[in-house]
Amino acid sequence: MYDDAVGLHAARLIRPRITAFADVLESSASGLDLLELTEGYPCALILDALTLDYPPGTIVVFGLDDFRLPSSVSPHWLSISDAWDTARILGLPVADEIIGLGMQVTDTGWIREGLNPEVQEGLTRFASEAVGIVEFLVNNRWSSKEGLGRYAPKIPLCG
Amino acid sequence: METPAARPKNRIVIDPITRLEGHGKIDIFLDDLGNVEKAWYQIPELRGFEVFSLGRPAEDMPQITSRICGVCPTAHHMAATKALDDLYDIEPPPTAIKLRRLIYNAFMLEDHALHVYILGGPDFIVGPDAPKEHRNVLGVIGKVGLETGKRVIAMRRQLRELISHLGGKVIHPVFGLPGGVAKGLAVEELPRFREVAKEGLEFARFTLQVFKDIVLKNDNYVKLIASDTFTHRTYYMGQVDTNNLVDFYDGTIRVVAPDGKEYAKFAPQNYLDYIAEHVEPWSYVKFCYLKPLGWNGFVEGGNSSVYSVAPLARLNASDGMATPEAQEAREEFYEVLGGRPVHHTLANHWARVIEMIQAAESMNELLADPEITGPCIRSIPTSKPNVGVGIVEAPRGTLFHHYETNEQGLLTKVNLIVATQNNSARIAMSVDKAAKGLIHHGQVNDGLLNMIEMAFRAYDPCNACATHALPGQMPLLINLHDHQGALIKKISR
Repeated sequence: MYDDAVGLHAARLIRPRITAFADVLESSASGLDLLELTEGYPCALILDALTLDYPPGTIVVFGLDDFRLPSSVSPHWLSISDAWDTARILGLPVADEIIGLGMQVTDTGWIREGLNPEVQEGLTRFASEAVGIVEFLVNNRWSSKEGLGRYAPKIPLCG
Repeated sequence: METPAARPKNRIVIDPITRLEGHGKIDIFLDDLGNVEKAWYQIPELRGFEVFSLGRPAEDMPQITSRICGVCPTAHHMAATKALDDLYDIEPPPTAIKLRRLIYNAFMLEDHALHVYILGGPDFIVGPDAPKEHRNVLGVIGKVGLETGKRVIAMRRQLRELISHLGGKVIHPVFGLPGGVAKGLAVEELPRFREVAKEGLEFARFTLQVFKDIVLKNDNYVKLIASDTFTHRTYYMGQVDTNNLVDFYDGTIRVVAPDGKEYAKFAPQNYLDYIAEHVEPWSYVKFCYLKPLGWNGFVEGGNSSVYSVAPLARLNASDGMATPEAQEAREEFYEVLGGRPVHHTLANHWARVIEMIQAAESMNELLADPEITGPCIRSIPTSKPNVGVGIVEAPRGTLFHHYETNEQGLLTKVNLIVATQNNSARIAMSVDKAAKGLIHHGQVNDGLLNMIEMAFRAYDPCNACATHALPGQMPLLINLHDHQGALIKKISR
């Protein structure tokens, strides 16, 4: 609710644009439950709100290694990296590759409808960047191992 | 990541830089000898919910509130559904009650399993002294074996499929309605449900054995559980049935004093007579306490008005478990730990495993009841709505939903007390005590910090219920302050 729903808003915008070659799923799951949704797919792009120190509207690409934590504090906090490592060790057919695309938001502590104006303003860009990544992945057979080009990890794309 | 702060050396603060909202934060204040004078643990509070809800139809609340938390949506959904029953003064038919209980016990079993193997596991299966890189779910799998790891995942998946089958979705179920449920259980579906319930019971038994083999046979860990660093003598609250046995879904709320004697027993509708909230200037979360006793500070023992919820509290507040094998496990629990009540916070992990057994046994009992496939799954409300209170025992403790509406059923007031808020005072005390017991002469290392985190991990605090923002978790930050209050060390985890 409010800015932490920016990923859902973006997903709804991009769905009609990539439906021919990608499934767009909506979820508020995390950790292992989120990864279960990727089963059977070669690659997954996760769109979500970002709560780091970038200016609102900044868009950042993440890889799994960017989510690694030294310890797990709560099931709510099981990092997606730990979950992915666990899934792979257990032989679960989760996606080979997980890419995160986040937009810096202003506040995820309030329950409200809609988005903060700065986040709303950046939503179209967020969706476009997501489409760009999907198109890149399609052209590279669902692997970013050749490099994402300008989508270098943890470098802000725009904002 | 460590960020050395500018000197003078007075204060260690753990804080996500400028953002307090949505992050767990610990402030540790040292005296002039470098020993801990005080430690404060702040739990993020969900804000704006009451305002957001006003004017909405109360019947939307099971859907809205299930979105508060991605880990325990079923708890919110069920509490909201029960609040609607009360709001419309409608009693669901027996089949509906049994179906609700079936789903709820499946949820408790699944959620507790997740906690035991993934959250608590790194602490007591791998061990607090294990190297940092092993204190995670992968370390747990390394200890219990790959096959057990697969079994945990498979069990969770099967239970979630059951919940999804009746509830529509696991994450945001659409199951509960005022006066009943949306979907019944067909006779032809029984074999599958019974098979999962039977496997669930085997799994719960197995988990108890794992706990005994790895934890209880480890003298060091048993000493840690019983150590004073992780012990608090407070009140305990839990929901019980008419025989004072643990009941996750329904009943009355019972509170026992630090000496184990019953202090209070009340119907959910009267919760405001017993629970009040206290505000501290250094925290944005309110601390729940027992209202008739008044706020006496973060103290334990005879003068305390602080209470605890969640597995350990439920066992302490009750006279027994509702199912035979769980009762047997409970008896062993109290025999080993010196009788009831048990005040050792880390015993929450053991109590959780005992509750897994009750949840699984209850599922099997319900599925053996022919009424579970009955056709009558809802009573239609006819009364005008007014006030409704619904309470369930969420995995992390007692959860309160309170709604007031106008005659059209539009909300005029909403009050939620989530489980972690009930525990917030005791969690703060646990962190304070652990920090004082472990940090001396200003020496802080990863191992000690992990031990402090164990103090609140045992409660499984729901710090980020409302958010699932990238990078997918809320960091915990620890600030260390010296005796003059200046920040001397900042550590983010």
